[in-house]
Amino acid sequence: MNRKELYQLLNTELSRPGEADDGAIAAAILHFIAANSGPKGLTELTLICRHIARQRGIQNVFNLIKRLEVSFSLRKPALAIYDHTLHLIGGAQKYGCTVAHALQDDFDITLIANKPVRHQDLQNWYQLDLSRCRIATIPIPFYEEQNKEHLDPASVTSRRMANPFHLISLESGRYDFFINNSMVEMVFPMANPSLFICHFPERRPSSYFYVDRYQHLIFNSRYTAEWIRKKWGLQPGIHIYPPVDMNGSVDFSAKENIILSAARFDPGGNKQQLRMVKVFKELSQRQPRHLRGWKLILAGGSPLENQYLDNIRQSIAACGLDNIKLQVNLSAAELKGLYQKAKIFWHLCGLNQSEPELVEHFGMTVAEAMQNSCVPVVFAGGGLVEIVENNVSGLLFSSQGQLAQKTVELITQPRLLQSMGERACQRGKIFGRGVFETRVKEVFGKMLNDYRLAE
Amino acid sequence: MMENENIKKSLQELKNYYAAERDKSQDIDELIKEPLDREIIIDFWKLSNAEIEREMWNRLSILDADADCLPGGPLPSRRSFLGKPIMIIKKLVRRLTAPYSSMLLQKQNQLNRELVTFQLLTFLKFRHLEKRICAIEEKMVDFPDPRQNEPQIEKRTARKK
Repeated sequence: MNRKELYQLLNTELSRPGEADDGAIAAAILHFIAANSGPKGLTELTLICRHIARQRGIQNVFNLIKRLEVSFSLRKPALAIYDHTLHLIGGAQKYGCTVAHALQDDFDITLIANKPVRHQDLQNWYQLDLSRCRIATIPIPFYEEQNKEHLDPASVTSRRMANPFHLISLESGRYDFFINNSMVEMVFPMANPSLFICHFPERRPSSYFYVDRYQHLIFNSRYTAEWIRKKWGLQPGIHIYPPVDMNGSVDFSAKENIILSAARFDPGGNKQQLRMVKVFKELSQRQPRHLRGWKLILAGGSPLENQYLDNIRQSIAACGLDNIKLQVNLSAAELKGLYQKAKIFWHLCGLNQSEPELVEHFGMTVAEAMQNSCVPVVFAGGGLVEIVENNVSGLLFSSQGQLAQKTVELITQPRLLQSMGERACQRGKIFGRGVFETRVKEVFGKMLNDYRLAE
Repeated sequence: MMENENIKKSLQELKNYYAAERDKSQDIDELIKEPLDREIIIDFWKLSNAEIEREMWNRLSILDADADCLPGGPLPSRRSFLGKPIMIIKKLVRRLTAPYSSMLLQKQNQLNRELVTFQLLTFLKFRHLEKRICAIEEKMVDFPDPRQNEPQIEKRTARKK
């Protein structure tokens, strides 16, 4: 490509603000430099950059130069993953960290957090070696003043308040790829390409909503995709189910008569453990013969002070049953032990709820239980119906009565319980970490090829 | 090899230059040469119960912040040359009309405060009602109406016959 042709292309593309093809511009410049790498050609590059900066801004030129560096294989591409709650353990955080784990060979990865977090913490929480990733902590003054552990994006209520995430938007522009894994719609992506991982659209578009400015929208379940369309009016792009890695060697004969629930003791009561206690109590009274020898174990994480957890304790005490146990803040190994011992898994999140965000968006613990041949009896809604195939790899219910009835069906038919447990185990494998990482590598491999302007 | 070194050096120099320029300007609109923000219109009819509640809280806090309509602080001036005489006139007008306007504004202020308080109370009343409805719904789940399971007698058909 000669100088004249290059300028012709530049002028055509730059005359279309908002629609200019950055890839075509970068490819043309790349070919021009490759053919004219002498002093004259490189001086021309300086002039081209100045020309683009005038028309499209400094960030656009900066992105172009970064892309040329990667395309000439002068360095590895830099990728940043932002998560405002990286310092707290959680399913969404595990998702982002597993993406980093899958890509750390091909990218220089920076995990951007707002509060300090160590590699060792991430290793302990998710069993992921992220030693090749850098962690950058960027405190946000607005939230530092509040001195709270959780940075709540909903506290920015109107455009009268300055956007506290402006700092992160500016930081995003330093990298080749930027992934927003934090569900903070107020971060404007300045890198190109940019990806927004949506775990669920919690808020409607309001002040500082920039999700539509990201080039790719990744979603974790079809349920989430449906609500992205309804709440944001956006078309979700890439579907990647969350990584679930609880696979273990399971001997069904060694299992005990345990109904297990593993879910956070959410202070708002969204996971409905209190209702589980009620149902179990009712079942024990109505079907004492069938329920003899069965235990209900409620496992999950909780903050130190939790009124909802206290209510559950009181309810258990009031029942007078000694076969309902609470196991709070277990280690991953202890939880795995419970999955291996339990025969049935209950998950009620979403039952009798009218708000879509209170229904399970995916349900990682359900897939974890299935990987350990635990038969799921779960609410027929949200992302749960994507995990469990009714009457094949588990049972779905829509009411409290159905939950009781289906549980008794399983308890009274040991053969059905075992065969369904085996099928649940098979089904659970499709949500494994290996499958997740392969998919992530495939998606990003293609993006990287495009970015590198590989012919 | 030499050519690659030249390219590397040039790109590095350009990158350093634009990185410094980028750091100098913290204004995103300027960096991307387009306005970042646009007006987003909320379709209130599509909001869920929880979203309506959130929106009510947000609006209430805005109303509360804006309730005070008494003039406070110095008058702003954006003009460089004409600024001073215009400011003098503004101050004069403000002082002349002060006795009458401050009486009206104080009345308005009082009304605003009362309205904000009234809105808050209405909101709290809604909350109490909602809690009561939730408690009733919860009881209905625990003790479903036994008549629901009884066979339905089709009275109308029987009458026709």
